Amino acid sequence: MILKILNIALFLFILSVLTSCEDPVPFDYVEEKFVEAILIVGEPIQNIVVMRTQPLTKEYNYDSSMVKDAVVMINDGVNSLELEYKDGSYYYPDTSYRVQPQTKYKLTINFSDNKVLSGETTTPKTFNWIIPPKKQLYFPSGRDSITLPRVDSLDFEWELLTIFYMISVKCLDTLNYGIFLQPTTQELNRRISKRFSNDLRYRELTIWTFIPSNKTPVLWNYFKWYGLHEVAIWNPDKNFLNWGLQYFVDSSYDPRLSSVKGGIGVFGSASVIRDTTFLIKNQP
Amino acid sequence: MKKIFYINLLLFFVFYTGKSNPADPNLSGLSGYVVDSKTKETLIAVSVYVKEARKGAYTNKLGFFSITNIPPGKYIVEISFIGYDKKRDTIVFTKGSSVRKDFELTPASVITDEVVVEVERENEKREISISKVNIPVQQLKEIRIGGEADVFRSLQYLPGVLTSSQISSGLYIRGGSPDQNLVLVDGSTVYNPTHMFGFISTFNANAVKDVELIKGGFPAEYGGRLSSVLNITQKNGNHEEFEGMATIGVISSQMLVEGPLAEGSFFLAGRRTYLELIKAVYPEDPNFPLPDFNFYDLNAKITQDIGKNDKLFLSGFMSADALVYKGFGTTMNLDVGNKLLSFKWTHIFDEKLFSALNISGSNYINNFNGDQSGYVFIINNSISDVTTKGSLEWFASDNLTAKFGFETNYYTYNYLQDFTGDTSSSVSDTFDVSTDMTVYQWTHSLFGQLNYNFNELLSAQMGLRTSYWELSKTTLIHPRLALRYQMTEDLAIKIAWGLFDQNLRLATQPDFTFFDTWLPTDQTVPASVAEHYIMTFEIYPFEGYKLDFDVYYKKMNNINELNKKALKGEVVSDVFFVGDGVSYGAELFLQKSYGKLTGWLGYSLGYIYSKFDELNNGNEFRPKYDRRHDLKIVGQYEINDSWDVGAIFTFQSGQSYTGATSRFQTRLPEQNYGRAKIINSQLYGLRLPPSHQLNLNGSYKFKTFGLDSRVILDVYNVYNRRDIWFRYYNTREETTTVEDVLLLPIIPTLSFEIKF
Repeated sequence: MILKILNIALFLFILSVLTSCEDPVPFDYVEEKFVEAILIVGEPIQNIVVMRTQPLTKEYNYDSSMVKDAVVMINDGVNSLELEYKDGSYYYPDTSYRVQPQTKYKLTINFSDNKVLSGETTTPKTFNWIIPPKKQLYFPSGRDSITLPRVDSLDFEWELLTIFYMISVKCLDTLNYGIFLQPTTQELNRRISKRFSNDLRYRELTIWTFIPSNKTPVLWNYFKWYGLHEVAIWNPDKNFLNWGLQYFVDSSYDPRLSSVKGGIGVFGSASVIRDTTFLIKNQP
Repeated sequence: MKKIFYINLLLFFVFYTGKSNPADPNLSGLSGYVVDSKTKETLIAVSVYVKEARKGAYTNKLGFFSITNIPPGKYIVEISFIGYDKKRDTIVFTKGSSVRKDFELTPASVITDEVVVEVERENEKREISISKVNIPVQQLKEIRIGGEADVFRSLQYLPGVLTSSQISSGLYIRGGSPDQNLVLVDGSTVYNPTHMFGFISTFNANAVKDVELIKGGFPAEYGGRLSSVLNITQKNGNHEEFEGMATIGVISSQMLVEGPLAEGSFFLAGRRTYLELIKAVYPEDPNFPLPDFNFYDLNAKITQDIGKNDKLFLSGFMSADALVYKGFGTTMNLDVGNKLLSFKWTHIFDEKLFSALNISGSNYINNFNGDQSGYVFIINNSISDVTTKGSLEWFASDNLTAKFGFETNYYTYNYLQDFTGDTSSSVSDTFDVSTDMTVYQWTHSLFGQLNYNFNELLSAQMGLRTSYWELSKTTLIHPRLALRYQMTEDLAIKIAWGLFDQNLRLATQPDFTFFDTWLPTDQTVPASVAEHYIMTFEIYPFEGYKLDFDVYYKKMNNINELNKKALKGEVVSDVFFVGDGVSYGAELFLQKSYGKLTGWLGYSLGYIYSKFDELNNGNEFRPKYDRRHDLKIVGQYEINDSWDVGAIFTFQSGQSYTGATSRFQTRLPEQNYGRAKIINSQLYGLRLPPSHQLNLNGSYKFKTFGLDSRVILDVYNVYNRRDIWFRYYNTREETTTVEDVLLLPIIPTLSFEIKF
């Protein structure tokens, strides 16, 4: 009887091994069309990126994923605007045209393989600063570190329109520093030394984050360089907000956060307010 | 209509069986408690057998037994239990007069299972046990990880019980998620019974007297969960003398004391980790600060006997985890805790009628707050539950046992989440972006349960449980049915069917349980309901062994998956996706509970599928924790009075993961690089390699200054196989690489235990 039990156990074990093997990484790639189009109220129609996805089994090449021959049309309810391709994105050549607030726009992209991609967005209202950023800001004193309490603040506030905003902080000049001071100096800019040395986005000049409020003190983590920065507050429409969520959460694409039909991506809009601040070094 | 049918069927059964089985005034009965002769601790699942009358029973959770319809005469009564000398007593039963007698058993080493098998069969006629596993606590204590004996960790070595990973103790039982398990301590619910992000459970194994797991088809006295019941009974304490034990381990140390108190006893046990104390000794790099972390738990119980027929129990349980981090301009505090206090009164009316009343309060809270350079945020969620429940157990006749009861719960849910950066501001300043709400809810349940023996071979158990949930105005009436047929002397077949419901839902991350949030069913989501079908073959293939072969099918409707990208949480449907699931499979469990060699072999073949409109494009998928094959072998061998050794081997199909086929680069405005995103293929459509592992343990008993002591060595993951926790696609560079995050390496640990 014991031998029988052992035989059964051995059989089950072998069966388990055979039927529970690892699955190979899939390689059944299907190309999809992708668009990132954000209309910014008060600005020209530009920076509309149309691309195709690439298989994971090959080295990713941003340039070769570009679609340069698509027919991209935007309709504002009155005019149909045909965009042109230049330097990696599509734009409307008449740069005097400005995106209007509270206006519905429709996007249509026709590809050479007869695929069509489309989307809609309604642009949000404009808004203003209540307390704009200070012109100069002192990084926490002492070592080149953000482990110390803040000695300065960048509290800013804006008109309350909605629940979620996005903030972007962009370094406008990673090279020059002293030329922005009074009196000017020859001092050059440099990175802020941080303990997380393997910055995932080392080359990134602009850092983004969500904020469920209309006011905030500065978050020192969001500065990567000293010097001149642009701080922008974005009031996104629902499509752009979802795409921002797509960007921040998960490394994989979530189709529920896409706002285009016939492909993947976003056709959204935002109103934005911008200002600059200069981050003073705490040491040379 | 269905509800009326079930009620009528139950009422018919009650009257029919009552009428067909009038009580015989000429017969006698025997009832009482069975206790440890040394400590007077009541003993659970002791077999009491009236040999010549071929009648027997097991003691219940309170150590009480009752045997009815004994013909008058002189009989030998045998009382036996693992770890105790068998006791024989001669009792004279006179016509129409019942005997009330308490028995004391003397601790010993090994007993045979001969009598236990007979009583098991007799007891099955009282209450058909479907998918129930009782593992002796002593066996459970030998299963360790990192030197910690853990109840949940031990249960994961049973067939049909899975965890999401080696570092998680949440139990997935027959395809059900951890929140679908009803976890009871002395009859009261515990909501987040884990420490260390879910690594180990909050149950101190030395404070536990009995652990019972019902993997499905549980009787009508249990409700409120879809999948299983885990019933933990704490020790009462030594009635006779003071004693204690101290244990020093790698992760934590613990101490317990117990002893007599007035007309009863007390028991007190505490456990605490000292990771932050160890950290304080070593110099820390201020540029790389490590967080401070600690946990503790406390178990306490007071038992008082009021005469021969009444017992009072006051038991409490408390656990807490705390993590503090300061660095990089950020301060974070994370606190998680459970508190439970329960009062129970049991009363014996006579040998046929036994009652229990339980009033308890249970609270679970998690708090996360932080300050990043003046930007303040807070999450503070909690659930409180005040429960009153009572039951009457009626041993009506030799063929009929009935149990009736009620349960009333008053829940308070608190949710506070504020990410505005200024938690002192009012809600109206910041456009309702913060959540601060309290929800109250009553739920009421009634149950009735009958066990009836048609004849020596066939018995049935029928139950009905009705519940009312105030928040969603839902009334549910759910039947349970089980049948048992003794085919041959060594083979019995049991089948069970039932409907089960669940009001509460848990928003959780399976591998990190710090932010578990319990939510009620409100009017935006339908009630979660499950239907179980189970068939069990119970076999005694040869002496000392019991073999259970289960086949099950479970359908689950309106279960939930967390919507991780929800931007608002005003109603429950904002937080969850609601869908359906099905699980089915077979389990084989060969167990040896007695003798020098004890342990079990468990194998399960299981299939789990889920379907949610919002996930996987609405297509059916298998969840992450679906593991097709699951083999577990557990063995413990007592070499002699001093040495014990044990081994655990597991082999499981790999967990499911989601593959990907392509990528794109996404950039927000003003960005020059952005992030890569992968496009998934079928959700959880692929499988990782199988996982397997061997753990060994050995212990040596000796005396330290005359006190019983033990040193325990356990080696987790002996051949250092690093199983994969999760697999991901690294798109940091232009070339995508598939990378694995590995789980625990070999961990040898040494623990020391001393009794006083």
